[in-house]
Amino acid sequence: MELRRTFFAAAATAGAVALAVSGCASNGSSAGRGGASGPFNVLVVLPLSGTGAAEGQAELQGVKGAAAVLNAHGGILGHKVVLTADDDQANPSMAITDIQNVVSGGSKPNLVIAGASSNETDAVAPILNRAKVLNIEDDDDPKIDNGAATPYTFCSTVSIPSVIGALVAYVKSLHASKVGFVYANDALGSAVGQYEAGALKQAGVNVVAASYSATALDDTATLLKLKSQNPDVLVTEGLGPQAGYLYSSRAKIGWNIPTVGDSAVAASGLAGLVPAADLVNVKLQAFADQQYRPFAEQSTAMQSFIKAVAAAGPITQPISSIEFAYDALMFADEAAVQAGSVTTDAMMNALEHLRSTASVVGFVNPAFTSASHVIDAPPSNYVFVPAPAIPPVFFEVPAATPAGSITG
Amino acid sequence: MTVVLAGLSTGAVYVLTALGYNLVFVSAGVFNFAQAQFIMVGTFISYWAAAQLHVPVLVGLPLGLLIGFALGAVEEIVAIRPVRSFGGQAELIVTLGVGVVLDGLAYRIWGSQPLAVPFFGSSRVLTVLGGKILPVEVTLIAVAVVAALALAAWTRFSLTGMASSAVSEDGVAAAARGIDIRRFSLVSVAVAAGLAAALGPVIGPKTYAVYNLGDQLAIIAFVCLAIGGFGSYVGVLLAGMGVGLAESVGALYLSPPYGDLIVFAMLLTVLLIRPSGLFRSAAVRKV
Repeated sequence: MELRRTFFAAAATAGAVALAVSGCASNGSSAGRGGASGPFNVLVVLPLSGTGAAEGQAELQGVKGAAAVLNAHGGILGHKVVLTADDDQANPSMAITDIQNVVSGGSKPNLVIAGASSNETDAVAPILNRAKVLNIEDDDDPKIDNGAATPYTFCSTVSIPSVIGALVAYVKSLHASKVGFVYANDALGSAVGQYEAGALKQAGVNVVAASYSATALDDTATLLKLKSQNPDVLVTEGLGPQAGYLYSSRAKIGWNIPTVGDSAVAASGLAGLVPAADLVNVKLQAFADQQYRPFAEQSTAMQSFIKAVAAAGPITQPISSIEFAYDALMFADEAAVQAGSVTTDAMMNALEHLRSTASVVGFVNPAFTSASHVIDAPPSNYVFVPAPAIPPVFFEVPAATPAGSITG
Repeated sequence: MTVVLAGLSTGAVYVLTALGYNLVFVSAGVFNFAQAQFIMVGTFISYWAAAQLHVPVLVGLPLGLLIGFALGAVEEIVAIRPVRSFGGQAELIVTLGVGVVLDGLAYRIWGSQPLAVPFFGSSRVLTVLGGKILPVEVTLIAVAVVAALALAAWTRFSLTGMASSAVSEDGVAAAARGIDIRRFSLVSVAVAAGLAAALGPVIGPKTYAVYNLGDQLAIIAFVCLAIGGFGSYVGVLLAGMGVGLAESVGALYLSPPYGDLIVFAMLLTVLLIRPSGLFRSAAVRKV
């Protein structure tokens, strides 16, 4: 799903937006390595305008929420968290320029959170690693989650294999004699789809696969072709309108066999595109914390998260985007506390051996290793829920939380 | 048969998009790249009417007509008219720019997630000639056929229709015979935009309202025009339906990439054998 964000094209608006969130007037001249009394400087480089703005603003909302929570408790090891946000307009070149300007300026930030897509994170990670700047990204790509190749880069989201692993485990549990698998034929759909189909086959599942045209308005023919091979379970891949066309075609041909939508389908707002009556026997893959739970029943960390991000602005994007960005800063805090220091190497070593992740909300007991700097969440972090059951907002926000109340 | 009907219904969307391109091309002598974006605007207007104004989705038809007409008029006055004297490429570039602006505005207003446009009729699957088809798809096919034939009849039998052909074939000669070219261009761009946006209640339930829908439709509509012949409404109808069928049947018997390949092979073949398109007579052009 993370890879799919690269669908967002570079935007046309210009300029960089810089804002201080936590109350400090400037960050540029502060001790970059977090001197005893200096701030903990965080550079956030995200698409804040243009076509990637919705995703970028959601992630910034998560980082703002985390900064507010940490600063309310005295910051990171007593260092006030100061955010500087730059707008890269989803353009890797602009992200590189932003990062180079900062790291070559003599005042390196303590932490960088950069990019809403793998295009941007892949571009900036080598520069940050050469400059030995700790960066925790909320977007995964195998190119940057390898601890040996990019030791200063961590990913606060799950690895693609772990998402697919959960899907495979669930499909296997259905004990189908034959599984039909259908995926979009665009570059990203093919990459993820073939990975998923391959993983199913590797797990011993008898798979018949077919791709559909990513630009097609109707997938009837592809589904009929697959149906003729008599699978007893259907697994689908598709994002946005693709998922809608796929499931409308499924309903039209009356093919109601048990059907599983992967995480991309789950992120497509399927319940709003296809009538509930047409989603019979459809289950969607979701993160476990996306299940609705009353606020009072949430964990303390989750309650802090919900209050903080709701105070930073209205929640309009899938909560996972906000969570992973929020967690990037929380991981940094946990590492600093464990290391007793905010120096880069101490935090990097601590991240690879974290003992506590109590403030992290995205996953249960997430862990990095020296080899893998991305979270390999076990299948228990995922659920497969009936399609119409996924609401647009997954959790309850207490009514008393004032929206947009975080100020300088 | 279900595959054939699916191909025809998809082809109907292509036809309705391409008819708008054709109308502007015939009447104003401009290839308006933003035309498909007016279809997109129409789907959002229908969504807005049904989901936010809570009025019947068919209200999207007159609303789309009015808003599309206004947007088209603005496009003609602000973007097309100032570059008329610079030649065809300038018009292509500015209309492409208008399309990008409309995409961006739609994204800004409604976001990136697709939005469902309800259909004003039944949603129960019908069986036609042994194949499955949705009522919205039957409506799409019917509207596409009627629209193409009506436009063909208008061009052939009405005075304004014949004048529109005269404008595209030789603007100077048409002006010499008293046709107000500027006014003709303004009205035709605006009417084509209005008609495209008025299709929201019919096209939206099939395609959803998505900000980049116009980009998706523009290329294939261009292919339909090139195969059918610029200026021929009947050609566009047959080419659009043919392209939809080729995609659908290709996906069944081969695989989706081959379906796309068949469509572009059709285009190349037509361009090689009959560059003016299947249903347009060849004309001498000064180059």
